[in-house]
Amino acid sequence: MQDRLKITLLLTPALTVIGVLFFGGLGFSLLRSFNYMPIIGMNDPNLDAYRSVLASPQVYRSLALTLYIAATSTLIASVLAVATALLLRRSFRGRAIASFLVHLNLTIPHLVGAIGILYLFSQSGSFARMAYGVGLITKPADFPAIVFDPYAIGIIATYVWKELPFITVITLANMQTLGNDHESVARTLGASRWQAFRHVLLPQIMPGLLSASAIVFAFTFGAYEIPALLGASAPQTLPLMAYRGFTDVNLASHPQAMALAMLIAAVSAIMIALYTRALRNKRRG
Amino acid sequence: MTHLSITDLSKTYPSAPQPALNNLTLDIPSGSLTALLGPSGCGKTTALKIIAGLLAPTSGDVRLDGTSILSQSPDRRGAVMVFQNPLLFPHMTVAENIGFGLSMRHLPKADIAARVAEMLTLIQLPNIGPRRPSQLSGGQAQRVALARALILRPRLLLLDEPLSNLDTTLRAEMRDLIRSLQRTTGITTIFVTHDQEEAVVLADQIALILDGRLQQFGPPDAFFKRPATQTIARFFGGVNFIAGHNKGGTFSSALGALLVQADLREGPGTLTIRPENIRLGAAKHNTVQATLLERTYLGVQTRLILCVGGVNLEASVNPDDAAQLDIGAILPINLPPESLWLLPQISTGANQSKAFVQHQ
Amino acid sequence: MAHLRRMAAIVLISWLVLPLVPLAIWSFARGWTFPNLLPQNWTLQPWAFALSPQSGVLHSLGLTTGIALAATALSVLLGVPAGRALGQYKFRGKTLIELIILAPIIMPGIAVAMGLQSVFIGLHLNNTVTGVVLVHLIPTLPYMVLVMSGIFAAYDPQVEDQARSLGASPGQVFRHITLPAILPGIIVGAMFTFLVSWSQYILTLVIGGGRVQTLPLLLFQFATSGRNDITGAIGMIYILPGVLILILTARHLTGRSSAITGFGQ
Repeated sequence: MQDRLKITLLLTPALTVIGVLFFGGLGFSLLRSFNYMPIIGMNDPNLDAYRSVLASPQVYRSLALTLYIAATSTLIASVLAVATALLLRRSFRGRAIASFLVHLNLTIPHLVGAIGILYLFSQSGSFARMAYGVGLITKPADFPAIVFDPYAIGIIATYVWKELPFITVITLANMQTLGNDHESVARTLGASRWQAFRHVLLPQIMPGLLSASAIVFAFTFGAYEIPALLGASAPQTLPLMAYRGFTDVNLASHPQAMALAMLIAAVSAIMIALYTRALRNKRRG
Repeated sequence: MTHLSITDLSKTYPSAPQPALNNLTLDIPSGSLTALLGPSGCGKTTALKIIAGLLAPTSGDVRLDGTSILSQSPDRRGAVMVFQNPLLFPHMTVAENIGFGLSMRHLPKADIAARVAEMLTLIQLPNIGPRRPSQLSGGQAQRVALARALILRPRLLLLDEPLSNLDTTLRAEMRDLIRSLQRTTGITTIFVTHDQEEAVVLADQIALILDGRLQQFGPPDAFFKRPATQTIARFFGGVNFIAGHNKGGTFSSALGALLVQADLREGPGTLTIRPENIRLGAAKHNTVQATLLERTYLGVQTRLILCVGGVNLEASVNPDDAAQLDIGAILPINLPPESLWLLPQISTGANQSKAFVQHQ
Repeated sequence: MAHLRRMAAIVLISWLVLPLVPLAIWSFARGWTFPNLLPQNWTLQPWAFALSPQSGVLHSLGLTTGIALAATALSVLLGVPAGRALGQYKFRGKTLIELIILAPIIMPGIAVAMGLQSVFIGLHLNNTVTGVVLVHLIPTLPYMVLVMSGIFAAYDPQVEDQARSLGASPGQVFRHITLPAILPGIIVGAMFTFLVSWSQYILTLVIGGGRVQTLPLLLFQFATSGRNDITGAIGMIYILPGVLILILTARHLTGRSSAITGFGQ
């Protein structure tokens, strides 16, 4: 009983703050998405905002784009991160540098990465200049549009650049805890290099990898500043669309912005569910 | 049936000053059970990993039935290694673990299941197939690891300290299991151990390795009766060392002139006799008068410390025979000529023996 | 294989470092026009401008630092006790509480901040530094709790009982036993929390309403206005704390990764 009291006392301050700020914020977004805001005289909750959001082809295009960016970035970053972790697991010349850069990258804000990608890949950026230098193009406009482009290559490149180290660090730590004895056993039992990876190492790092990927997916799905800097003017990603609606002088568009925010939250909630499942499996295993 | 021959095998790890393994040459007969014996860090596990293909040697060769296997990757060698920890794959069931090697070869599932069942019976754990490794005891896990290796009918079975993680009772059980499985399958087996007793009980022959070098290779009794050096004699519990000179079947030392067997080498040397071979009372040969300095009752035997001509000797005798002896008494003892063995005068590895005593 | 590995390492290192290179060069460039691979003239002017009062960088720098320090201090105060509860005890409903604390890390800030803004208007916290500090707690506090629960899971509270039986008062126990044991964890957690706050963009934008202009907001503004040289200089200033913290904590900087390993025990 005494423990119970102690635990309650220890947890209450943090839970109160998270409850008020996070769940309060989320709750108000939800209420406003239902057109419910008694302070400004809106007393009848309804689903109008959702109706108009779900009737808009623009929203579907935006949702498709956002899902595409998040899925592609997460997939590419995860696959490359596993490869990078496999590389960093061994010793080789330059591993210290590579490892330092991976960690350095963790500390760099996304925005800086996005600007770096912009200066590299824009039509007057470093790569365009190199292409000019070797005679591939004659003017900036000849260089393919990699940023502000409909395929969101610049956005995905930024996410891969920034999230690859994050997943790598987690996967590498995982691999180092596991050691390579299991793979050695598998090898002497007749497994090829690939089979040892596929059947022995990969299943063991999978829970951690899935958790990391879920976090990355949720982040890339809901991030604002990178698509704001590198995205094409249309279609925009969901967070941009939501923020635009939110800052619109026309207050009538606010509930729709909130409905979009709820859409973002719902997709993230699904990711949290997957994440906790993976975490539970990991603990059981 | 596979004959393994190792020639001049050396391994120096990067940034290590000493080679972990130094010119190891061994010829291991087909179907035998061989122990690589030595203290931890002596290079024996290194040797095992090189044979398994998990490490590349700095120089030397490993041949199976006359063909070098060094260029083959571990999965092609037919040499299966069982590690000190069972290292069962945690995400697979016991049955999946045992069938792992066969499923890597893409054998039909029904065939794998049948052979897994066979192996489970062989290791006397017929019902644990569906369990997870985390639900097994240490002894069970080690048996499963053994089954996982044996199911492949390997040309060579490599066991790295297979008993060291088990408690005493399990250890004896597992030892008997390994022995009987090895006998029935006839798989050429090498096991690494730091436990002298384990090597003696289990092995057809022992390779003693100290500091990366092979010290002696032969059947277990040779290490007791005919150790090559004082270091080896000490490793196997030898304590009595008498300096002197051998000429024409007579060894002259502080104990006087002792009759020794004619085939021992001539010249200066160190005579050794095991404590259990020293007899109380007079006999036809080699009777000397000894002063009793200490008597320690050890249950199955009594240990005596005796002084003869300024040399201390340790003897293990029947407790009943020693019960009446008083400390300080002078008594006759005899050293049977067939129990005396001559070592080179200067031990080749004075430092090694010291290091090992500390290890003990 | 070794050859392949070397190639892969070169590609990896280049990819990691490449986006930072033009940024750094721009900060020393004067008139770096297409198609020159390097600037025609080198200059310190972008730095001089960035560090002058009129650019507002110094003001933003101070503001960002202050907000991050305040959010960190609050996170430590609230997060250390919660981390202790989760790291040291097993109790009913623990999984739910862990989920409640994890959710803000994963849930995109925009969904929360937009609702919170309408509440903050009523509380006059909108467009204020205090409001921004509070909203930064949403991502920073969970991280602090995570880090501390890991620290406390590895901490044996029996040493506290031992100290009590040797005559230490509860205050003395905390001061001489608990604090020294968890301090390294707090420091690592605090540095990490600092960086999380330092990197926030959308939370600051929504709650600060553009009035609380932290460094990332200023950086974004310069980046979209085409002042590449000034952007380069601000970008370099902006990544500085991360580099310093990385050097200070060496390989401990995996705070975000503790979100994966989960809570202690």
